Amino acid sequence: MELAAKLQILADAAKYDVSCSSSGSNHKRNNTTIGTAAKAGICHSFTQDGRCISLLKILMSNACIYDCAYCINRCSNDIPRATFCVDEVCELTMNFYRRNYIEGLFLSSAVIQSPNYTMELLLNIVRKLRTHYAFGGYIHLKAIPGAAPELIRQAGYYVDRMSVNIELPSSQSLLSLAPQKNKSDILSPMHQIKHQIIENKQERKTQKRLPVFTPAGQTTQMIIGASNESDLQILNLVDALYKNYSLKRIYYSAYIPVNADKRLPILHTPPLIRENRLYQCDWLLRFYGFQAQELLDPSHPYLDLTIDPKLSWALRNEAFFPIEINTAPLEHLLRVPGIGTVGAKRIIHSRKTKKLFYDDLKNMGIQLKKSQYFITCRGFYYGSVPYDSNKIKDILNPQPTYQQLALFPELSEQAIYPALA
Amino acid sequence: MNIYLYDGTFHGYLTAVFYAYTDKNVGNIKKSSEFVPNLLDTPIETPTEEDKAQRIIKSIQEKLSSYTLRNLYYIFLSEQNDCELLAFRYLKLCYHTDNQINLAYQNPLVHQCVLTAKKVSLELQRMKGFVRFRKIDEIYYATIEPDHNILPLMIKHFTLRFSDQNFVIHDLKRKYALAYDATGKEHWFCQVAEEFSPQQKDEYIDLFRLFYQSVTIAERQNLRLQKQFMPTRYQKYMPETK
Repeated sequence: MELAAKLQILADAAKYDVSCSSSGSNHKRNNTTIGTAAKAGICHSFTQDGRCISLLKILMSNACIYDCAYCINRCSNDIPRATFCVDEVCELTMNFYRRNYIEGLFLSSAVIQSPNYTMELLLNIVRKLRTHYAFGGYIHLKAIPGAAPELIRQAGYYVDRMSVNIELPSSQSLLSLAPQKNKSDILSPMHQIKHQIIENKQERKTQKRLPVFTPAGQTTQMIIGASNESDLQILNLVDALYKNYSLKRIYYSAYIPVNADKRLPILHTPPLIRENRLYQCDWLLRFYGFQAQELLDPSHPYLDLTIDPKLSWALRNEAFFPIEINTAPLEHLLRVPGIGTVGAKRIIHSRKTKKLFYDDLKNMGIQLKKSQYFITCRGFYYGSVPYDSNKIKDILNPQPTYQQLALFPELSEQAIYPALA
Repeated sequence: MNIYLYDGTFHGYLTAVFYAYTDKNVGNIKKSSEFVPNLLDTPIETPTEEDKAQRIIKSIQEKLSSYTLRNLYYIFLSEQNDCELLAFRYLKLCYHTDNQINLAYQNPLVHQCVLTAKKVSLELQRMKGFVRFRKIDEIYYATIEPDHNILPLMIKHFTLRFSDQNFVIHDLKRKYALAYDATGKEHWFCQVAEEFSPQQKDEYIDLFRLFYQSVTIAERQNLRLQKQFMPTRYQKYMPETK
């Protein structure tokens, strides 16, 4: 098969992998002549869906032996199959890299023959890129669940970031939608990678020249809306993953129906807003000091799709606000809707020079559309309505006064989930 | 009002700043090529004096901070209207108060400086990704048209990254280019007016275009978001969008 045809099939098959970041690694590799990693990552292009192209995101092969319900590459689908050989991937990566099209390689694969066989092929590709081509750019490799720990260990020294997809947020839905995968196969490589990173860090304290094991850490991805877990369940899982596996990122991908299967829900549009709200929660957990149980509780297991989770938290916790801009500590400033990490730091810095007025905030580029209701400046409250969560909610999220009536309202809104076996 | 004129280089600008600093009647600082004589203003030519420029750089590093120097350079490179005067006023403010003024984001002058420097660093970050090389014989050649004069800031990133290939990045708007020679490991700037457009075909352009089309998820189309991240003015020299 021609290279172009293979590229088309295997790039198309890889597009549902969300992760495309090239950040987190500024490690300069020894014995490389071309390529560097940029700490902040670099986006090289943006596709029509608004997602960035940073890495050459391809599958090594899409000839899968598994039959997961949600996946386009499952073995029962009648689609064109292709497999790259080692040199084709290396040549493509090097030539794209030299033209500054990409930041590096994102290599994943369907499982061919067995997990060990697939992992060995992936290892061959990254080894050749690093040793034969002396490539120092970014490589993100998928670890294949069920592969031997030794293969994962070896690959970890060649790549910048590794990831194992958790796919579905609970073991029941994994059992029903991906019967050939199981929870322990997915979690054990994540566990291994975490421990190798810690071990490697310790060893490098005494032996500086040792190679670094996955300098950009590990990530994972899960599909949202393919099974009927609540947002509460998902957030609890996310919280546990960040705490127990020290992940750098968790990616969420709104479920897009690609297969017809009676185990899958019927959706009218992909749950993009829900995905967005989950990302917002993710950021609140990682950078704003929120806890998962603050955002959702068993009486409210779903996120509000009309307002963002931070605003929703603020409206539920009226007693916490309004806070005084000139005295509040950083942790409190971060909880104000409309003030982000940059804004909060600016406030902390500039109030060292003088006490701030309300107008100063405007000059500093702080967004006051939401934050005006939750702060005071020198003791004065500047919100356009009195401090009352109902009034604030009405003004920030006005409800339409009219409604389009639908003939079959139950069909148009909700996703319909099949009963679990 | 006195208008200080310099030759267009950063060190030339610093020389002008050196002489303007003690002058109480500074109207503006301008490139000599952009100055239009008028009845009210007195032009003062300040040819580049290397020692004066070095004195200012050393003084900023010792008395203020390298952050201030970086801001000054970025504002100078922004090439916006009256950016020279803005940088001059910023420097004066820093010396009059002290380096702490960089924390006072509420100060309109500091805020404007932060914004201007941020525009330059944003474009630099974008351009690190958006430069597209074409392979012509053994040389990789790219054309760009950035809003700000960011070519000098790109040297470190590109020479480090492509240390084993000969490349040229050509700024068509300002008619000069950054060239790098891999054998001697050295780079230099040169004046090039015309775009170099050979007939040679590069097969990897088509492959990348194919890849670009294949990774798009049609169900999630969001052209507005795409445009927000990759404004149309940059797409001119990116082959995949055509």
